[in-house]
Amino acid sequence: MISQRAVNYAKILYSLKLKDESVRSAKELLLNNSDLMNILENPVIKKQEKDSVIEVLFEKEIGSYLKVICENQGMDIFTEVMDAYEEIVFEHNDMIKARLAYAIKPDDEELEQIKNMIRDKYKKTEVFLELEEEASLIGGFVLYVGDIEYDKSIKGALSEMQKTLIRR
Amino acid sequence: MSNINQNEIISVLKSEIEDYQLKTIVKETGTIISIGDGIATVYGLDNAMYGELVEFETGVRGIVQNLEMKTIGCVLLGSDYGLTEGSKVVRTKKRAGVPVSNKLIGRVVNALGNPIDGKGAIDAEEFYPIENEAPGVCTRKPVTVPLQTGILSIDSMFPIGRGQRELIIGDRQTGKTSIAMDAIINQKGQDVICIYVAIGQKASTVAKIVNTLTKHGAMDYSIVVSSSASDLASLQYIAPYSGTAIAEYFMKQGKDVLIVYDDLSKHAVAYRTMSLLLERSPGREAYPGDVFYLHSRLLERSCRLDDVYGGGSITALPIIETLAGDLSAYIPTNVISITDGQIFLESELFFAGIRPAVNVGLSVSRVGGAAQTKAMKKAAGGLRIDLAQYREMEVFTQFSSDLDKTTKELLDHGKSLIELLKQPLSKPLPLHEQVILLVCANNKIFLDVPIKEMKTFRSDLMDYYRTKYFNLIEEIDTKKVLTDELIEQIVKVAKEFKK
Repeated sequence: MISQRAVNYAKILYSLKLKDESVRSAKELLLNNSDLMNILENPVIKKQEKDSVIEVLFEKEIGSYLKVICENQGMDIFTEVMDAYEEIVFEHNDMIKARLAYAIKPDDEELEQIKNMIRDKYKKTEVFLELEEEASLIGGFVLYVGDIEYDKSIKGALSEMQKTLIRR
Repeated sequence: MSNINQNEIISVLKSEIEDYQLKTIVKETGTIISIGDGIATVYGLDNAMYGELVEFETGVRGIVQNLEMKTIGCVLLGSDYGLTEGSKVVRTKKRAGVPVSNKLIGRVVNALGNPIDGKGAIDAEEFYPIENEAPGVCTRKPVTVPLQTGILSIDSMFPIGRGQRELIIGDRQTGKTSIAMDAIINQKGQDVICIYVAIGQKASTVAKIVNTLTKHGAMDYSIVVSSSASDLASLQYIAPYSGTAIAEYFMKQGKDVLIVYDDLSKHAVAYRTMSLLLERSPGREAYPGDVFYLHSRLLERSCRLDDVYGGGSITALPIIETLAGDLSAYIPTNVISITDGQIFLESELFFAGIRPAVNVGLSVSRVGGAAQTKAMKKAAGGLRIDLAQYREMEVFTQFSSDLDKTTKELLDHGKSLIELLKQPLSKPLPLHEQVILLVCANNKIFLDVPIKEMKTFRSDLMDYYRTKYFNLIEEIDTKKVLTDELIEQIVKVAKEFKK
C-alpha cells in the first residue's frame, strides 16, 4: 500500500528532475544496507549526525532530499516513496507495469503477445512485465495490471466451475 | 428428494464439467488493509462505486460506503471470520439488492431477503436494488383512498390514507407496536399486502409478533423483514430499505402495500454506529450529518402511484421511540417533519387505562382527511372539539356537585367519549361499527350510561343492530355516506334499545 504521504514525497522527488541514475543508485544503496537504513530511521540519532552520513554517501541533490525526509522522520516509508516515484515516472513516460504469475513459463512469443495486448488495451508505449512462478496455479497464468486481474489459470477455472456448480 | 438417485447427480455433474468453457476471468481486485467491527478498509479498487456490492475471499459481501484517495471503506454484510489483512476483495459491479417474488408473502426474511423461518428457499422472480429513487412528482396521485386501521380513535380523528406516511411516536411501553399490529390485522380481506420491518428488535419480540399475526390469519398477506438486535449494524441499516424494495415490487404490480418500520430510532442508532466506525464526523447527539437524509429518502419512497404507472401505493407507518416524552430530540423532530402526521402516544394516558393512549391534542394527520369516507367524516366531525372542550373543563370535575347543568353534561359527554375510544388489543372495529358508535355518542345516547357498564352496553347495542337492523349496517358499508335520515334511524334504534 502506498500512503498519501509517500505519494507527496514522491511527487517532490519527481519535480526535482534528478537523473534517473542517481535516484536508482541511492535507492539501491539504501535498500541493500539495513544498517544505514536503521541509522536514518532512528529518531534518537541527531540530525547533524545523519546529515554528515548523507553528505559522505550521496550526491548533493539527492542528499538534500534525503536530509529533508530524515528531518521529518519519513525514512520508515522510504520503500513506499520509491514505489510511488516509480509509478509517477511510469505515468509520465507512457509506460505501464504488469505482473505475470505462471505455472509453466510462457515462451517469448507468448510474452510478446501479452505485452502487445497490454500495450493496446492501456494505450501505452512500453510494458514492463514482472514474471513470477506460482506452482499453485496448476496451469495457465494470471496477469495483474493495476487493480485488474486477468485469470487464465486452471486454479481460477476450477474455482469458477465450483461456484457455478454450487449455485445450481 | 428421495427420487433423485446417485447416478443422476453424477451424470449431471459430469455433463456440467464437460460443457464447462474455459475462458479468461477478468476481475477487479483490492486488498484488505484493516478490518474490524464489521468495517473493512480496502486498498485498490480504484473504480469501485459508492453503494456497490463487493465480494470478499470467504464469499461474504460488503457495501462500499466510503471512497478515499487510495482506499475504500466497506461495511460487511456477514461474518468477518477468515478475513485478514491482505485478503482479496473483488468488485461485483452490482448495487446491493434483494430478491423479490410473490412467494415472499407469508414468510419471515432477513435484511438480505433470505428466509429465516425454516420453510425453505424462496424462488426469486426479480432482483430489486435496496436503494431506489423515489417516484417523481408526475408519477404520483393525491391520497384519497382510506386505509382503515380498525382503531376508532385513529380512523375517526387521524385518518390514514393509502400512500400516506403516518408516524407512530411515544415512549417505551405505550402501545406503538400494538397500533401497527392492529392496523395489519385489520387489512384482512382489504387487498393490502403488509410488511413488518423489525429493526434492532429482540428476536423473541419478533417471534411473538409473527405468532400474533399467524393467530389472526394475517400472515396470509404479510411479510416480516427482521434484523434483530444481534445482527450487524450494517444489516440493521439496510433492513428498512430492503423492506421498501419488497414493497415497491408489489406496488409496481398495482397493489396497495402497508409497511411498518419498527423502529426508526434504532435504525438511526445503527447508522450512527456504522458512521462512527467509518470515521465520519459526528454531529448533534453524535449522529452523522446525513441522518435526516437517511430517513427522508426512505420515507419519500412511500406514495400513491398514478393509474398510468400502475396505481399501487405504499403506506408507511414508521415508529419512533422517545425518551421521557421528549418530542424535541433530534431524530423525533426529523421524522415528524418528514411524515404526513403523527400519532402521539403518552405513558400517562396508557397507565390511566386509556388504551390506545393517543394524545388527541398532539396527534395530527395532514393528508388523511381527504381519504376519510364521507360517513366517517360526518360522524366524527365534532369529536376532536368535544374532546378538547372536555379536557379544558376536566379540572372542574372535582366540583361536580356545584356545577351548572350544561357544564355537567359537557363533562359527562366527554367522559363517555373517552370511554368509547378505549379499545382492546387485536379487536379492530369495522367501518359501520365505528360510524354507528360515533353517531350514538354525538346524539348523547351514552350520556346516562354508567361508565362501568359502557363496555357491555355498546357490545349489546351493536348486537342489537346486527340482529334486528342489518339493513342499516349494509347501507353504511356499501354507500359509505351518512344521510340525515340514516342518522335519525340509527338514533331511533339506539333509543329503542335503551328502553
